[in-house]
Amino acid sequence: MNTVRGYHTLKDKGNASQIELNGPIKCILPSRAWLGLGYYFWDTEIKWAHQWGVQYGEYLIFEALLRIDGTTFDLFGNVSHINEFLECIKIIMAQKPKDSQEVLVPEVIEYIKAHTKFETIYNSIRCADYPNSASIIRFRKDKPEETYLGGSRVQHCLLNKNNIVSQSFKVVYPENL
Amino acid sequence: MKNSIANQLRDHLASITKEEFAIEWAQVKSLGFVGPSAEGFVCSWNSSYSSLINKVVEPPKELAASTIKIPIKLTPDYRGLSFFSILAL
Repeated sequence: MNTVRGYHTLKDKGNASQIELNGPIKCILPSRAWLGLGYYFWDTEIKWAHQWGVQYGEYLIFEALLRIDGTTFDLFGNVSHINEFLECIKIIMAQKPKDSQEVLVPEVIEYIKAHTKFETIYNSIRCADYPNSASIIRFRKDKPEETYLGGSRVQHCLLNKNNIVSQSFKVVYPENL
Repeated sequence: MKNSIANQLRDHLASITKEEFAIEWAQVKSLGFVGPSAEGFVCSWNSSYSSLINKVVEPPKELAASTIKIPIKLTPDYRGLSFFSILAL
């Protein structure tokens, strides 16, 4: 079993100690839940948690140890899972009318959560995006399609709290709390 | 794998009609996600962007009537340009 440090950002409502006891808080706002509904943690890099927190003005960051094991649907580090998810996207795209709206990642996730045994198999999803195009580097000049995707920003969406190591959830920002 | 999520998804879709799928999909759509598109995700995980490279981009329909359509082939060098910055060129 592998563990990583995860960072969970919330707006500071003056209730850090309460959240430390009962947290994390589930994201139920579809406008922000890019991996579907769940408990969100940035993987390893606390700076991503700070960057996310800026939108709130005053914010809190909580740290936890997150398990990465067979119950993690790992779209960052597991080739089988990546390919399986791509297959799910293709299946759904083939099913929906051609002229309908585009398919979004969180929609595919919520659909498979609702209509397969996904949630009985997996406790969490790990995924990355590549917000910095400067970190997309070619391997060869003559083959632009062969690119190295650096600068990944990795996040966990926990479907439940099972993959949080017990007693590891604690506030780390602001430091004086 | 026989019992993979993809196979479970196939089994589910084989057991329902197109109309039933449309209802289920509408339920997911009604959640109101605005996250990154699956297409972008596919391109990223392909480690290539091959599906973008040869994609012809046209203006959004609401703009098409008042602007000139400029089909543009995206190449990796143009990846950082938005549609509007290309239009400004």
